Amino acid sequence: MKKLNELTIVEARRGLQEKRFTITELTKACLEQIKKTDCKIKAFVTVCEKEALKTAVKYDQVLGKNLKIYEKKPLFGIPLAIKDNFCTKGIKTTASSNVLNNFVPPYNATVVQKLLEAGVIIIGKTNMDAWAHGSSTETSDFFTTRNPHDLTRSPGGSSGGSAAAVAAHQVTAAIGSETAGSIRQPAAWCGIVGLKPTYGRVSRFGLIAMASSTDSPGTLTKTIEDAAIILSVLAGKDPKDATSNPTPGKNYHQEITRPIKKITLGVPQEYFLPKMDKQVTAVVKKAIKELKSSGFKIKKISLIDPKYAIAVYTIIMRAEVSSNLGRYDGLRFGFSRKAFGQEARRRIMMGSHVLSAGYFDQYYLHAQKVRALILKDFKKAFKEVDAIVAPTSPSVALKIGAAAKDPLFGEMQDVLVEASAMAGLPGISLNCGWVNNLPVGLQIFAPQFQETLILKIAHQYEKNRA
Amino acid sequence: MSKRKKIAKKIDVDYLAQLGNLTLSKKEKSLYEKQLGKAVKYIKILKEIKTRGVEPVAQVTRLENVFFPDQVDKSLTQKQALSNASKQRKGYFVTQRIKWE
Repeated sequence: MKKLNELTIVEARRGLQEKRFTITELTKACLEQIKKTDCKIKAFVTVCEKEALKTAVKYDQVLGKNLKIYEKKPLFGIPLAIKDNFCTKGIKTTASSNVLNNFVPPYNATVVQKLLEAGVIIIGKTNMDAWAHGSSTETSDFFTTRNPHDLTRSPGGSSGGSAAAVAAHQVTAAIGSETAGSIRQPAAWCGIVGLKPTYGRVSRFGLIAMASSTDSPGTLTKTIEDAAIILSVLAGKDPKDATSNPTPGKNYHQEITRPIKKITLGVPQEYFLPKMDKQVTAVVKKAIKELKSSGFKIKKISLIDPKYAIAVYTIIMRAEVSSNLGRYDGLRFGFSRKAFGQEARRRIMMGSHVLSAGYFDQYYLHAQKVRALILKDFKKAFKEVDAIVAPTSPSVALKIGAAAKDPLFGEMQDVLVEASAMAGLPGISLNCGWVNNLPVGLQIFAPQFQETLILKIAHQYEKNRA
Repeated sequence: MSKRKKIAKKIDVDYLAQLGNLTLSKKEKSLYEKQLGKAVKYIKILKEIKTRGVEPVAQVTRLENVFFPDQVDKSLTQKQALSNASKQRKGYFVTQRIKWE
């Protein structure tokens, strides 16, 4: 039998409704697992033990009187971890940077507000690459998070703390954010489900900005169903974020149980890189065969070589980083700019370079034009296929220390998710097999606002494998 | 390539640090010069893609002219807004004097 901290959201909700255990017991199980394992994994920057237990006791009383509460509050009593770049009122929010090591936000990010209204219990704030700059949590100014499957390896990043916390069953689910790969890559490396919704599907208000034109809050969960439940809570227009989209969100959990129509999945040949880990390639190809035998039509397609997306992403992201980090003056909140770590400094300077007089047209403007071509390329592909499947990462989790050798480490690791992120497409990564006891991720992405479709495909795949 | 040309192509980290309001140590300067040089070399790969006549894209979901309703909304109290200030005086943030020379 599963321990309470190992349950999925669906299982926890059922157990709570059937009064098999209490919210306090569920919360305690997570907190105990953190106490037992986090000295090694180091997923959390802040653990809110007292507050979480206090809320749990209070919620148990509410639940005792009203079992129908889940109709209005779908995450009632569910212990959740939140990446430390979402502002949480009264809870220190650092973005894992020394600059914000004293920052206690006076307001909640919209994502946090919506989760609290849906009844979650915030267990704590998770470690990340500082300012989300990286793909391994090694640029965190505090410490490096370890992969629960092998403590000598990275959990991926930047949402590495959230992914490791879920994989180590320290929480039922977690929230992350992705600019290009920061949810899907750590999900792949930790063997869980990572959902990056369409850009604008979920509000960015109160999310410490990295690259404003691609930042997307999303989920790290144990199952597809759990991702669908949280997305139903988060999706929707927010007047506080002008780029949040007016297209209304859906009850994705209900949607994914509906029968799936005939779907054609595209497999881009360019996404099986020549230098990729051969065993990873084999596992992903096997997963695609499984999709075929479960009724999906598979079609080979061709997309712009992902190596160009690395360059487009490097330019645009760093330009936006240099602008977004301009606000940290150490006067209104946080410490002075002297506290910026190396990676942030490099990115600020590179961003300033591509935006500076004489280089703007050559780099930034040109990159925005290539971005238009990437969007066009996907549009063309989606005339032939409904969604695209590919490996999430070119390798399994790498050893700690690999990032330090390369100033473009993050960009190189995220090569297979950058183009779709630059185009704002929704994408999901889920486990599709193992190489030397390390998980391999399969990504599925689709046209903008087709979250239902990718969740349905992923759900079908998950069901067939189970 | 002559030595002079090589120097001219080097990234001016002092200028970039000034633009980003960053103070760099001597060691950092030489490190970043090398690393930024490597990054710039990589992004030049984009030259291979022709973009003549292509309109640049900044907003991928193509939203345009998003306005707030022109009305007063709830906001932070003065106390909340000042709660993280490094220095405050009489309800104001204390900043350094700004002077152009």
